[in-house]
Amino acid sequence: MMNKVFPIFLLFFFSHSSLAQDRFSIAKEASNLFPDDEVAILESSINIEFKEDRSKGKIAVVRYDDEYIALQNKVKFYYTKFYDGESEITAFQSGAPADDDYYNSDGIFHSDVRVIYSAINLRDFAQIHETYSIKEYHDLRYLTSIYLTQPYPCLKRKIRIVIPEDMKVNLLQFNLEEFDISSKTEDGKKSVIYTYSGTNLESFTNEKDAPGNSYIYPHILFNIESYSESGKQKTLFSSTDDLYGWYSSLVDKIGNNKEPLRKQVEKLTAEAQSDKEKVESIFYWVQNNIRYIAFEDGIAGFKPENCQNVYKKKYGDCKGMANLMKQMLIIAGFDARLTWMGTKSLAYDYTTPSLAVDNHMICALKWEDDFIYLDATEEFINIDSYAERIQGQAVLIEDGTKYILKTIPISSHEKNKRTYELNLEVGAENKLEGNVEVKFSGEAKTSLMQYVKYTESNKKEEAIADFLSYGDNNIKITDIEEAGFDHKSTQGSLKGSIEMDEYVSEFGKELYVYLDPYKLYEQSEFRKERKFDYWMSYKKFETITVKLKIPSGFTLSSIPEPISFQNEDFKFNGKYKEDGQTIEYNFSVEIPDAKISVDNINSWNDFNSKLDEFYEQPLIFKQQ
Amino acid sequence: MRFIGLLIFTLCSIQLVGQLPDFYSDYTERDVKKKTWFSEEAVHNEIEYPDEWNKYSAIFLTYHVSHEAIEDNKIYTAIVSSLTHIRVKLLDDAAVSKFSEFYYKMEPGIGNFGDKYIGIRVVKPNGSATKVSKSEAVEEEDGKMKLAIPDLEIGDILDYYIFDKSPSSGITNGTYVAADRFPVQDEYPIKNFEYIVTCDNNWEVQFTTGKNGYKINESIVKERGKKMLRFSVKESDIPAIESQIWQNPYLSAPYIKNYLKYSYKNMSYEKPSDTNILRKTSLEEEEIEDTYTRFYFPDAAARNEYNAFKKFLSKNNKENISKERKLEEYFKFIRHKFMNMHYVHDQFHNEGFREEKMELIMGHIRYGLQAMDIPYEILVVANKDIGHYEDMINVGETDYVIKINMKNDVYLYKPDPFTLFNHLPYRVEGANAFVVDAEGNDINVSRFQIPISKPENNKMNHVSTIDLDLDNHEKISVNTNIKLTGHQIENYPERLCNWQKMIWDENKKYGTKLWGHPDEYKRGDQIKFQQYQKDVKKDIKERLKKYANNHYDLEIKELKKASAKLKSGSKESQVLEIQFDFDLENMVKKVGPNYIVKIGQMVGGQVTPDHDEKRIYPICMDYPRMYNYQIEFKIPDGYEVDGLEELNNDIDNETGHFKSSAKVEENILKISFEKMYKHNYEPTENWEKMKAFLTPATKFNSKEIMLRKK
Repeated sequence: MMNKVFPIFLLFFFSHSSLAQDRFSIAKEASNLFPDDEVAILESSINIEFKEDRSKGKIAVVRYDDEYIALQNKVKFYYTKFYDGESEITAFQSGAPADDDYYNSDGIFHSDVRVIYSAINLRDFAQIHETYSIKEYHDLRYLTSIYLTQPYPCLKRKIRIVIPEDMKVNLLQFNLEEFDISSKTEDGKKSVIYTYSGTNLESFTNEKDAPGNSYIYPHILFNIESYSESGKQKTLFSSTDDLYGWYSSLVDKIGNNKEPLRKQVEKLTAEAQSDKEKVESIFYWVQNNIRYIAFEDGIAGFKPENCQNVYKKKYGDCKGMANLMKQMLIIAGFDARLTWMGTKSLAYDYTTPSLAVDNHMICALKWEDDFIYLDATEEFINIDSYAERIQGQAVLIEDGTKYILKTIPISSHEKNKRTYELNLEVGAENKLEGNVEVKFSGEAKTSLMQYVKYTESNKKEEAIADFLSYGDNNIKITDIEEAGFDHKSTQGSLKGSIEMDEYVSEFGKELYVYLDPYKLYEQSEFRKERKFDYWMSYKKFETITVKLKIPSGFTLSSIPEPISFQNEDFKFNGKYKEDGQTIEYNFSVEIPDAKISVDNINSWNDFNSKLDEFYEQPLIFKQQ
Repeated sequence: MRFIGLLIFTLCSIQLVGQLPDFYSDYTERDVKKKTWFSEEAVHNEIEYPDEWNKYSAIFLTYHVSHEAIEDNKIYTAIVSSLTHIRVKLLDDAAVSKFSEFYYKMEPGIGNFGDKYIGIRVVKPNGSATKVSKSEAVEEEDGKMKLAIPDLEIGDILDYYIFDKSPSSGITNGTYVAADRFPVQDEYPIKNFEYIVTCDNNWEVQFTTGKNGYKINESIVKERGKKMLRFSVKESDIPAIESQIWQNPYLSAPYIKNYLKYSYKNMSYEKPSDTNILRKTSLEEEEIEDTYTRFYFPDAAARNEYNAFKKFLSKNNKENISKERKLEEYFKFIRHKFMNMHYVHDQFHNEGFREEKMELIMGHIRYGLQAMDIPYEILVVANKDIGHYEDMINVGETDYVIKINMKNDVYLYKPDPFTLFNHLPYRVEGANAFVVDAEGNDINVSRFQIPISKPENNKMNHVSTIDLDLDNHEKISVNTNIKLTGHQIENYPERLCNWQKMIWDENKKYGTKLWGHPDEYKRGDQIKFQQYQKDVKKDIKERLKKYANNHYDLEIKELKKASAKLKSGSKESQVLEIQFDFDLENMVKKVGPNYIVKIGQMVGGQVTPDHDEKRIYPICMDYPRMYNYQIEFKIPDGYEVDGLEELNNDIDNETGHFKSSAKVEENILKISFEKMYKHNYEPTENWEKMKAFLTPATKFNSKEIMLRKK
């Protein structure tokens, strides 16, 4: 008896300690692999199946099984599962108390998204914690995509999707090839099973201004064409026609009543001299008077609110504002249409019929043989301009029972030009004194106008002075004047008197003068480890011109060397010239596609250090 | 039909303008509306305001808060009701945007059941008012409701009331039912401000508006045959608060501080007379005595630890040390026993140190003082962050320091694991404390002005040597040694020092368990402790880097060497020494054959007063202090220095000084920079004097020198 018990005990003891050893070495390896993370997932399995429920009809059931491992002592992390009006969490096993609450996301006033979450504390390094949960999608339209990348890094993740033979589903793969991911397809019982296996998957990035997730992370997009329910075949989104058909059915239920708008439209268009002026008047009125408040609430996330409510409440989401625009323009005698689209943050277009393709609605106005696109959520945007986030994006325009597919035109970066002009001379106590004027157009103008609009009245002057001095406390701005701060002006300007202290150093009989108070993109190096492109909110074109009167009694003895650089992402030029009386400094920067691709990060950094040196070079004047 | 309509209108109007119930407890929502939206009192309906206020984003036309507390003698239940009525005029888009979302919670505030009425309306410039329906409110987390306000435009008045009535049998003796503390001034000016507390004789009211506050009106009002006492503050044309550095509204502006307590002595069937109702605007000596007398009763439970301390002295041959030294040893012994010996364990388990432990330590110290026959006093003080000491109205606001009467007075305050012996927190400096003193069985209460430390006591001494390597991309190597004394040390030891070693050294001294020490701990647990220790070291390294970055106001990429050590000693010699070495680029630029060095940046960032700021408030700082920088810059061979005259400053006035100088001695440029804040408080009119030394100190930061090729 004793002989039997002892080996069993030993076996147990050794297997336990070797397991412990394993998890320590795994945790160490994972720490090396994911040095910035406190917790990782050892193994993750996501299993998606479809089944028919008596009361709910055809549903999708997603089961998540995860095994977390602590990469540090005293780790706290959150295990979360999201759901909304079209889905349900039917099982949630986190091993810790759970809370269920509304989920607030930035920029969204209200959505029906809720989150079940648990705070999980792992006391010891290499401690393992298992979780599982089940989420059901009651309306298959809302099962749009599944990501292999998740909020925590993962050593091994498997996504298994079982498609029954009575369903027609296209699984569209995005960005898989750039990761260590394999896939296989095999026959199951009256089904086909697709399996995607990934290893060493990092968590979602916290890099600022990276492209949207759909551009950079591996994921599967579901295009559910049809399925069988109670023996009957049902079509969901077999083509863009079906997607439009569903949208169109929602639009039919809006219940617009244009009458309350009529007087306002008449008032707005009464003095217009042309059709364009009428459109402008309505477009700018909506921008100015309807507050954008985002709602994402079940079907309300796709169905616009009726025009009379938005008009009365003076707020609405993009759909409500687009619908109000449409109805007001129709009253004014125009052909205006609702238009669905995905903004630049989405990698898809209408070749894929899915709810994942859209996240925005605007109004398209038939204009001669084409359309003008009116996005009233973009405050201060001119009728001839489109915001960067919608430029080049595919749009789906309503056209009765049909639809029109178009692409929003792309504008040149020259449209967003911002110019700084300074006229200076060396004054008392070696201060540079003179005037400054900044002119801005396009999105450079709209962004500044939004900033000024939402600054409290009593702080506005200080805010503009801060803008003109670039926050440098050694610069004093007075006598501020503004012009063109309206929709119609294509260019706005701010000007004032400027006094720059500590920009001149005197050494013996020499003056060392630094002319550029703005030093655009100074010390703007990216982290060498950056993984993704850097996207800017709009295309940049900025120029600085500074004219300095040569101080009397002095002659120019040294002038900095010019600087220039150009590649497909960015272009810089900086130079000084002299005409005997004046020194003129010219600097320009162009970022024509509003991005620095990751391939150009090194050249940006290399150039940026040269730019910093350029900015440090003074003009030197010698006493005569 | 027309007649019926008129009749209905008339009935409604009569009801709206009719008499209000005497007590909030009888209010229906209709009454609340009458009291607020349909009131004829200016405080609730005035629309005029000074023209010059149009420059603001918004204006509070009405800011009304009132509390009513009564005992319902039929059911012996306390009923507390509160009404808030706000009318805010929106003058720009920023205000419309800010007030376009309204948040509220429907659950009753106090008690087990009650009513809560919330009404929101938008009043247009023409006087037309539209009530906002709450039916479109959406739920946020924790049951908080959020409502988008419709049709809100510039020029509108957002007008809302929140009424909360909470009857509760759960309110027992000593329960505070309305405790408010808020500065009256807001970011917007206030046309009509009103704060009212009304109660019957079952309540104790403690109420102040602060040293710089408004008059509190007291009156007896008779409602439904019951005498009620009313305290009210009513002010108009209150300017907006401006954001300024070193500003504490609780020290320089009016505020509301109110405690309303259910009083047991009035709960008996025999009601006391009106004169027994307590009403206070300052703290009374009697309460101080009642609260702090127990600090002179020896706590027998402390005897064991005191005996253990005596053994410790005996074992270490320290029985004959002076009383002062003995006291210091006892302070450290007791703190070790209750706090520090567990510190590594507590940190590892995220337990931290708790208030109860501090009190336990202070109790043992009092016992020790009595056992050692060392006389002491209890100084009862207020933390100046919550107002002037004169404005303490509730004994719960008080804190205390033990003042030990020795050759040189010793002050002991509730310690954390790093508090130095004889430490007086700056928050109580200058307070006119109550002194609770015992002579035999007699307890006396008197007053004592706690001294304010001198700038020299709170010093940052910075010495750095700078090497410039012209052959290596003009790289600058900096070696910095910083010594902090006095209050400048506070908050840093835990963040910057290797406290594990400090604690383990203490454990060795007292022969206690080296919890978590690698030599002591079992093999199986070593990995997690090693990991933990690595984490602590990594954290400290990161914090030191952050400290260096903040100190210099520069982006220091890497510290080559960094350490921080707390050196104990006498109060004057206690020092936190921080050292770090680092390299800097971009501090030197080559211009022709010469170099320009941004030498001013080597003293780090300085407080920058705004160009044209008109000081409105007194200057309330933590403590007097001084900063001294000594910089030695080795001049490379073959170069001489130009531009030194710009580095000389000598400004000295009653508020502070800034002195700087630069000279070359044996090819070393020696720069001296000293800034002193002479007091912890300056009146408003002294701001220009402060700017006189602060501005050149800030400008010093931009100064350059030239290394000219000989």
